[in-house]
Amino acid sequence: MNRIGIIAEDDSDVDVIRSIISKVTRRKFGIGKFVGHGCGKLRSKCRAWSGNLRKRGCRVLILVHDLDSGDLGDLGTSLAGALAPCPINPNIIVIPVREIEAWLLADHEAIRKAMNISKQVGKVSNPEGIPRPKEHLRDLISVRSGHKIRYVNSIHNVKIAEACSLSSLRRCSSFRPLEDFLRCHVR
Amino acid sequence: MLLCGIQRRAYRGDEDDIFTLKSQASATFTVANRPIGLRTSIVYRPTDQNRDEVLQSQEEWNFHGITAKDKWFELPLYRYTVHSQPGYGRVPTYGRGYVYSVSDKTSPPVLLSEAAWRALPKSAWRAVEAIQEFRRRTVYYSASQFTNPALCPPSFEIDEAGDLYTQGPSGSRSHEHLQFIHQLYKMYKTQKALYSTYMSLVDDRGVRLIQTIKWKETKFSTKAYEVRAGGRVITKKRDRVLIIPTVYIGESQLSFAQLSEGTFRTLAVLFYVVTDKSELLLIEEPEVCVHHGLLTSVVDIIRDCSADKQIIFSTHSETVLDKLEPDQVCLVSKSKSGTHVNAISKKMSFRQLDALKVYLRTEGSLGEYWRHSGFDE
Repeated sequence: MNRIGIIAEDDSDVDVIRSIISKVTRRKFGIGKFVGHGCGKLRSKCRAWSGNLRKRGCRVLILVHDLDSGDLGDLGTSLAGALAPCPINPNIIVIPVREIEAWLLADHEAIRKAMNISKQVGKVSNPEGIPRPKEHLRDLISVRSGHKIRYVNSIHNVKIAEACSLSSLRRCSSFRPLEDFLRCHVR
Repeated sequence: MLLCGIQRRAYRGDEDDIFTLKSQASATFTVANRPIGLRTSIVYRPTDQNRDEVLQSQEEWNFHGITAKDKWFELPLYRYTVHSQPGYGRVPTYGRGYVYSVSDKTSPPVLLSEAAWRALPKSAWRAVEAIQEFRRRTVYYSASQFTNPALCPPSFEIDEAGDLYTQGPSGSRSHEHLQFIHQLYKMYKTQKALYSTYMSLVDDRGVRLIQTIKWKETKFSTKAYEVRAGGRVITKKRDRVLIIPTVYIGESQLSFAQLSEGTFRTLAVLFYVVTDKSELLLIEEPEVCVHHGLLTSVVDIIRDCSADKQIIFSTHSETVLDKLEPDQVCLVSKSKSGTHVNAISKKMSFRQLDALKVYLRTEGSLGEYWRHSGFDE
């Protein structure tokens, strides 16, 4: 069985990635994880954590870090520098634009199903163009549920991710490298 | 400072001993962009029941920002009405009672005497009313409030109006537990949508504390007899309902008293965070007895609910700090002059703030920064 290492900013990001891996690979796999609770710790510790994950049997590494308001090129370079030399190969640095919630916004039907909303949820045309996807998702769920459902990212992200279709996720350019990586290296 | 209470006996200055504590606090309120000063002092002492009994208090207000006169007025705006209770008698001395752990929302605001109103400049009346209203809409939950769920009764009785018939000692923890369970039941009966929202946060759709709560209702009647003048006996029939709540966790069916402290406390704190309609919610240490994984979600819920009302909580938890941004945190520090509360941006110099931002971006988390004494100077 594949064992995949995931380093992310928080547990809910790990859960979303785990759900996506399951969708893409349709295989059983185990995971080892470290969460940074913010970007500073993740950057300073990611190399040591990946060494530990390797010792724990992880043969593939996924590092996830939201772009937030940063620059994609700068963040990618900085994270690659922090991770190098990475003890786990293959590895990938995934940077959702602007937040991982943008991927979830790509599938309006998944949001409706996962959050048990009876009204239609409108399609978001360009999820990665939304400056603050987390707040956007929260407001969308609140309004469409008639203010009856409270979205809490650490609880609900994984539920929406489980309901998301790959075709919808592919609408996000920052998602596609992860899918290609998984198809290539997790078999 | 929320004072509420039951007066028991007069305080004499000669009672002071090592257990008698004196505190002073000052704060500035802003009403219509005008600063209003408050200075207050309390003398209190733990009782044999381990509660803090207020022996004496003083509360003074300065409306300089409105009246342009630097004069302090003694006004009980922030003190709760003192309740009389059978057995304790009524001692109408101002400023005595217990430091209370929860606001009693049924308490009316302190009514100022006509003389007190007259002593105030008219221009300050509106500010006084605004402060009274603000106080009325402030609710406080202490860290010890929902501890020891074993104090929860296995059942309770309500009368025909749906009000609680079972009574614990007012102000006791068992009373607070009972109040919470009763309020939860009332919400289940009368506010289905809100109850559903709350349950969706605590059951398998949310933080997975419990699966569900079932409320068994058993109706029964009691008879009371009254003897009137002339020996005429009047029989009064009263309908009541016995409510037996059962909490489902996995395959276990438990009463509230059987829940773990962390589960019960989180259920109660989230209930008030989600349903409370106050303008300002003060919560002491939401992390007590809560697993760090669950705590992350609890903080998320608190933050989400802070869109509807202001929520201020104290914490000693790194996990909680890690979920916050520096501009959401105030530091509490103690010096010879007293305890000070300052926003991080005001406490730190520009250079220190810059160093913190760089640290958070490249090295570590806010909780870690605090643990490693990054805020100490």
